[in-house]
Parts: sequence; C-alpha cells; structure tokens
Amino acid sequence: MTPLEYLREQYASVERTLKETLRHDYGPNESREYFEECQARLALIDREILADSPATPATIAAKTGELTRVGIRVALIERSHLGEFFWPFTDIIRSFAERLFEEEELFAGKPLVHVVSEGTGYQIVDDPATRLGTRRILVIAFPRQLKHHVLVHAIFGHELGHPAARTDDPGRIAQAVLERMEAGPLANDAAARAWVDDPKAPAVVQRERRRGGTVHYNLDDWRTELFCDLFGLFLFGPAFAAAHRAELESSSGWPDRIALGGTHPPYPIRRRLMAQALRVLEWDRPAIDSDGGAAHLAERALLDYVLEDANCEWFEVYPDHILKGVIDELKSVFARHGDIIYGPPDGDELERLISRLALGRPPIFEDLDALGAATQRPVRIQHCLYAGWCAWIGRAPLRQALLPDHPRVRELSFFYVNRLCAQALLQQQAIDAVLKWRDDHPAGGKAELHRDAEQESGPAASGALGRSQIIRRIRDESLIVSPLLSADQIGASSIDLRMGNTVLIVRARGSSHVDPRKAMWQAQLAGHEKEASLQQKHERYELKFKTPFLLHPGTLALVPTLEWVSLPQDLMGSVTARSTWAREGLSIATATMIEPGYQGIVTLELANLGEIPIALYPGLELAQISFFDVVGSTRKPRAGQFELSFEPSQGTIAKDSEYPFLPPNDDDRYR
Amino acid sequence: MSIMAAQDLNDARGAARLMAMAARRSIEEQGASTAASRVALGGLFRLLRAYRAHRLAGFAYQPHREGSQEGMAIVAPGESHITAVRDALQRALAEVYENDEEIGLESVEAVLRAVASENRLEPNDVRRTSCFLESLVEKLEAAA
Repeated sequence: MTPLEYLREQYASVERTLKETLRHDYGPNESREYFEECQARLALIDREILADSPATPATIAAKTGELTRVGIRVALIERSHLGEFFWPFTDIIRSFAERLFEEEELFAGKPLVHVVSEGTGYQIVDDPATRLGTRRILVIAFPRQLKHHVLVHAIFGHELGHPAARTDDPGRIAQAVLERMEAGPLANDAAARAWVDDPKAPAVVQRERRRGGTVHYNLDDWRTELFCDLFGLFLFGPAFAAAHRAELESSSGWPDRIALGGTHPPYPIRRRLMAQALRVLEWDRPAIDSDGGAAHLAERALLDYVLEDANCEWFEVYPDHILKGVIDELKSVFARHGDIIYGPPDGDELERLISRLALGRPPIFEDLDALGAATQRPVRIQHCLYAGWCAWIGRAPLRQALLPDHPRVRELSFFYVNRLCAQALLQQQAIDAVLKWRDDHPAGGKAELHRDAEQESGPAASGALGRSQIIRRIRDESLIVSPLLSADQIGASSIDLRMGNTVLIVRARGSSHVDPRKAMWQAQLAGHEKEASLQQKHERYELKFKTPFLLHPGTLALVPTLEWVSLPQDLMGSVTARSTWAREGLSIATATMIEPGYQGIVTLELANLGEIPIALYPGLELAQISFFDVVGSTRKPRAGQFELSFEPSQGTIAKDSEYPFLPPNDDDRYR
Repeated sequence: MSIMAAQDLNDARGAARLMAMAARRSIEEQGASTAASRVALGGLFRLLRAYRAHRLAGFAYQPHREGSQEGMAIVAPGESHITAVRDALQRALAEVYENDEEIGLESVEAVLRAVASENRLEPNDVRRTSCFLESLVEKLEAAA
C-alpha cells in the first residue's frame, strides 16, 4: 500500500466514523453545527487529496496530521453525553466563551463550544492557530468525577484565560498584561535565579534548590498561568480563589515541598497573588455587615480562608503598585462585558442565600407576598457560588446559630452544599426563563389573586390546607415549595409541581423482572455485583429546558420535580397528577405520599396510559401536591430512603421486616 | 510510548502550508462556494488576524505539555513549530509588501473578504496575494 493509498483509506474511515456518530445524542443544540464543522474540515482534506498529484511525502504527512486532528474531534462526539457533566454550568461557560471569544470571521462569528467529560481535570482545549476550519472549536472538558461539584467548577475561570490570550482583542490585551508582569523575580531568568538563591528564601525553597540542582525557570509559562489565575478571579471572584486553593493546595505538597521547575509557578506564589489581588480589588471586605449574625461570620470565615496567604513575603512576586497596573490593564478585557465580570453581592442578598443553604435549601432569591404571588430575583452564578463557599467554610457558626430554632437542622457536607448550589443553578435557569418571558409578554400570565388569602392568618384547621394556609406556611418558612414561578401555581388546596430535568426509564436490556427477593440478595452481594445491581436497572436522560422527552404508552418514567420541597413535622403531602394531564393519559402511577420532615425534590412516577406517545418538557406543571395535618408525634427510627434526594433513584423494594414472607435465597426455583 | 509519538502530527508548518496552498487555489479561482474553499479561506483569515493581534504568542504556550499524557486523550499533542509559522509570515509579508507589514495584512485580508463574499477582485490584488501565499509556502517548506 502506498502512503497516498493509506491516507485515502484513513480519510474514508474518518468520514465513515463521522456519519456513525449521528447514532448518538450528544447535546441538544450543538449536534448539527459540530457535525457540519467536522464535515467542512474533512472536505478540505478531501479536495487536497484529490488535487495533490503527484503527492509529496511532506504533503502526505501534513494531511495525515490534519486528518488525525479531525479524527480526534469526531471521536469526541461520542464522549459528550449530557448526563456525564452538569449542563447548567456548561451553559454559563458557553455564554462566557461565546461573548469573550467572538472574533471577526469570514464565514461565521461565534465559536463552537463542545463539551465532554473527562477523568483528567478541568481543561479547555482550543483550536490551533493553523486551524483548517470555518469556526473555532473550543472543547470544554469537565472532570467526570467532579460532576456535581459546582463550587470547584469556578476553576474554569482560569482555563478560560488561555483561549482569551489567543483571541484577537483579549489576546492583544493579554500581551500587554504579560509585558507588565515581566517584573520583580519574574522579570527574567537572572532575576528568578537570584530570587531563589537568596539566603532569606524559606527553608523549603533552599531544600528544593539543593535537591533539584540547576533549575530551569519557565517564566513565560509562569506569567501566563498567573495571568489566567487573575482572569479566573475576575470572572468568579472569591469563589474562584476558594476553588483555586482547594484544588491546588492538596496536590502541591506545600508546605513540605515546592515545585520550582515546572510550567506552573510554585503554589505559594499563586496563593499569595490571589490574596493580594483580592485586597487590591477591594473584594476582601464582607458584603454582609456585622448585624448579619451567623451569615456575616460565615462570610468572614470564607474571606479569611482565601486571604490567608502563604505566610511569607518572599512569595510576593509583585508589589501592590505593579499588581494594580496589571489588574487595571486586565480589566479592559471585560470592558464590553461588564455583566460577566464579578462584582460583590448585595449584603441582604448574600445573607439570604447563605441562610437558605444553612437550612438545606437551594440558594435562590424568592419572596411570596400575602396574596400568594411569588417574586424571584436573578441571582448571578458568582454570588450563588460565593454563598456556597461561605456556607461550607462557615458551616460551624451557621449551625450553631440555627440549632435553637431548628433542632433538626442537618450538618452540611461539602458534597451536599455543592448539590444544593447545583440545584439552585438549575432552578435559576427556569427563573430567568420566566422573568424573560414576562418581560417579553407584559400582559400575559397574570392570575387574579384574592384578598382573602391575606386576611386569613389564624392557625390551620385539621385536614387539608387551603390556599390561605399554604401561603401562610410558606411565608413563615415552615413549609418550603420553591421556586413558585407563576401566580396561579398555588391552587385552592394544592400547589402545582413542575417536571424537572432528569428522566429515569427502565433499560431495555436491564432486569428480566422485578423481584423483591433481590433486596435480600443485595444484602449479601459485594463489590461489582452489588453496585451493578443498584445501578443497572434504569437508563438516565438529562434534559435541557425546551427539550422534549417522548413518554411512550406503557412506559414508566421517574422524573424529579423542579421544586425543592421541605415539610415540617406536622404536615404530610400527597402528590397526584393534574387532571388536565390525566385526561391525556398521563398518570402519576401512584399517589405519592410525602412524609412529615421530608426534604428534597419529589419523584414523580409517570406512566402513559394512553395509546400515543406524549411529549413532555421540563418545566411543565404535571402534578400537584396537597398538604394534610398530621396529629401526634412523627419521630421515626430512621430516615426515609429517598430523603435529601436531588434526583430520582432506584429504591429498595423489600425491607427487613418483609423478609420473613419471601422465599430463601438458596431456593433456585425462584431465581 | 505510543507508536505514533515519533511522528509530529501537529506540525503547524505543515498545516499552514496546506492552508496557504488551498487558499491560493481558491483566490486564483475566485470562488468560496465549496466547503473546502471556505475552510481554507476562513483558516487563513484567522491566522492573519491572530498574527496581527498578538504575533501568535497565545498559541506558543502549551499548558498541558508536561506530565499529562492522559490529558492528551481528548486532543492531539500541542501545536509545534508555531514560531516557525510566525517567522515565515513575517518574511513573506516583508518580501511581497516591501516591508510594510500592516498594508500587506490589510491587503490580504481585503482579498479574502472579497472572495468570501464573491465580490469582484482587482487582478493586481489577486496576483499580489497569490505571490504572498506562494512565498509563504516556500518559506514554510524551507523551515521544515
């Protein structure tokens, strides 16, 4: 086979693979554009293969390289299922990237942002300078293992700095900033060497210097990384500084070790620069004043965490006046995008967000008036993440302050705070969509609200809660159903619930049958078998808003509500389908009972009892929940298995108490 | 080490040469109707814009080049020899546009815009841009 024949063979393979990728759903909006861009890139190679006669070895090698690049892009199509990364955060990164990196192009303006999940860490992979394509492709790689850790996702602020340095206007500014950063110990190799050899350098530096012998300093790389750190700080504020410390400190070896010779500057330099930049930008001051009590203490704790520098002035590479010049120059990157750059939150807003988190509620900003009309405010992602970090770092004072009035308040884990913030970002997308729709349609969607709701404020009567009592309970925060996105969502004696964004459906190649006896087997299983038995029953789909999901006749789907629900100990909830939907054949398979004290999303068990498929969209009001007084103590020996749910999950059908009624495991007739 | 690691699959000189050759053909044929033409013209346009804005400096930095073999799974190894492309551009512009780089860049960009929007081109502009691309290809070949 000649090299040209082999090249043609490779070309045909990549082209075939590109077509095959359309078997996959890989992001609701980008599939066509990404496919067409890959197709266009292939077209050039195709034309050049045909045109190149006779082919020279150098040309064949260059085309092979290009083909490999396209092949890698094509392969990424199959690695970008929505379910493997948290797409509401992706949407935010995409909106930043599309605006910051828009350049004049001959054929199309906006860069194409493609998202995959990876196991390697946060990365944004840009097209090369010698890009053979019509549109720039930015591949955003999420670390799969950190899917729900939205507080750490602020690290993407740094990663966005790298493509910024390659974009026309931001790139021009980046060069000016990087020139300013040629100062102090990072001015040149001689300055760096003198700095490291300084007898006053900390012991860890001297030790590393002796250990490493002659160290080559990658000062261009170091300055670029510091530029990206500042870029991230501009985008995400103190939340970036917190994520930066959490992510880097654990892998740095500091304070026992320090790396001097890599592409990235030593960790304590980066940490000190973050603290110093926060001070220069005056983002080191709490937004919540001292009257804010525990929330103020929590914010103070977070600021102490990010301002705690490396405890040694030696690591300060720029004096304040140089850093200020760098920051002023860098600000001009965002001159046309003032709404992207971080700005400190309003103290009242931040206090409310932190307080909601401390009580185990997603941090959105919502008020309900006495007539039952809810108002929401847009909360910027930076402020949501800031509140999340405050709630985590300041969890001790927050819990202490809450315990007298909320003795059952849970201790927050980092994962739980992340998931609450993730839920808030999802809910915020719905809120923003509704607010935009109201702006665009000022006359529509207003329900008439009655004064009687405001007038009744006495204790609830025994039985189902009426509208006025529901409103009273929500206003005094003993009952949480949030967000309430329309004035008529609260009915005469119920609240409508909206479909959330995850769907679990039984896999076609899953279990052969449902058998409660499996619960007993699971107790005896271990390792792979146990996990597989827990995970493999359902296929999972994550839907963006305005994306349909077809529920076929006879199919059962588990979907979460968009709303976060928290019931007090004296109320229980009952969930049923809205009659409008029931008439179309959609059934909530069971009337779900929600126990007193439950907190989390509600799982709707949807079944299509009709004869034709039903298209469902996240955000639709499919179900309704009614509330009933519960008399007597509701304390129970253990929490329900679905409490604190953020999404539907497979349950354990049989409990220990039912085992006496099931055949023994060694009876193979029932296997 | 991967069997392919010995090859320089992401040699910016080779890709730039392909792009310049294809763009030259499209300019001489004065057509941007095919996907292949658009790819070549669009790619060359962006390369020139990046050269003008920051001399390709942003592309010279490869943050994941060390100790991150696993990280390269999602993309080909970093672009190499980008400075050779920068030098070739600089010399080809100086040669054809008599050391007035700014005028040269504007002239080539104007031709690319005209081809993209299928406007009529002055024969002299076509000839000069073609000379520039020919010179660029030669310099990239010499640098390889």
